Amino acid sequence: MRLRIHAVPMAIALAAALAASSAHAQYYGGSDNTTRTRGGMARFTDQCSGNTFVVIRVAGSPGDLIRFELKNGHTVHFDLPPGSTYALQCGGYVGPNGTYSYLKVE
Amino acid sequence: MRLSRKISLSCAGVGLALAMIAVAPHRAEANPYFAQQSGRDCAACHQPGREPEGPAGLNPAGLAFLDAYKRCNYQIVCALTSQPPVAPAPTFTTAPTYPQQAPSYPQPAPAYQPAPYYPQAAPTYHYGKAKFEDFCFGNSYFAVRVGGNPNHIVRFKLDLGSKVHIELPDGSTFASQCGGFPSTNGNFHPVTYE
Repeated sequence: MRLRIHAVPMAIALAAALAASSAHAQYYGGSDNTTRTRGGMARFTDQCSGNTFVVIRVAGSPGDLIRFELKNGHTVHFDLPPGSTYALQCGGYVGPNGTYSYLKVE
Repeated sequence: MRLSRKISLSCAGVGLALAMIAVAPHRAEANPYFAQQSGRDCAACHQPGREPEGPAGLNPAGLAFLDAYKRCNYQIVCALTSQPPVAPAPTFTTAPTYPQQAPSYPQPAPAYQPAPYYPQAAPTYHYGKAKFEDFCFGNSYFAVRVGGNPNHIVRFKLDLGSKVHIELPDGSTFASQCGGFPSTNGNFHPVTYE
C-alpha cells in the first residue's frame, strides 16, 4: 500500500520531467522556423475589429523598432533579420514592457 | 659843432639800442649750462615742450634742483653734490613692456579633476505615420530608408489591395517596385506623412 502511494507520485513526476525535456528540445531544436534562429519574411495580418497595432524589435533590439498599423484584414510581409521579435495588440501599441515573441518565417 | 652833433647822435643810437634791449622782454629758456655741468638732458629738469619757459616749465626734479641751487648761493657744483641724483624723467610714448613669460616658480602639480559630466539628451526624432499601399495588384515591394539613413533599411511587401501605416521618423525615404524588392541604391523618394 505504501509502495503504491509512493509509486504514483513518482510516476507523475517522471512524466512531467519527460514532458518538460520534450518541450525544451522542441523549442531549441534545429527545426525552428522562426526569427529566433533565422531571418526572412514574416507575415502580419489584421486580426482586430478595429486597427491592429504591431511593434517589431528589429534583431531583438528595444532601440530599433518598427511600429505599424493594419486594418480591414490587410496583410504586410516584413523582411526581418534573425532575432527579431514582435508584440501585437488591438487598440494601441504595446509598451516597452510588453511581451515580445519571435516570428514565424515564411 | 658838427663833431658834437655826431657824438650826440652816436650816443643816442647806443642808448636806443640799450633801451631796446632793456625794454625787450626777457626770454626765459632752458639753460644749456646746467645741462652741460650736470651731464643730464634738458628733459631731466624741464617738462617736455616747456623748456622756453625757464623755471616756470621745470618738473619736480628741476624745482628741487633750483631750490638746491639757491641754497648753495647759486653754486652749481654745490647744488649738484647736495642733490640726490635725479633720474631722467621717464617719457612714455608707448605702454611699458613687461616680460612676456611669467617667472617659473615651483608649483605643485594640479590635482586631476575629471571633466564635468553634462547629460546630453538623446537626439529626438519627430515621427509621423506614413501610408503604403499595394499598387501592383499584389506583391508590391517597398524599401524604406528610416530617417533617410541608407544603412537603416526596412523592407516589406503588401498583398493584393493591402495597406499599412508605418511610423517613421522625419526624413525617411522609400523606393517601391512590383515583383521584387527595389535596389537599396535605387531612387528613393521622400515619404508622405499622414
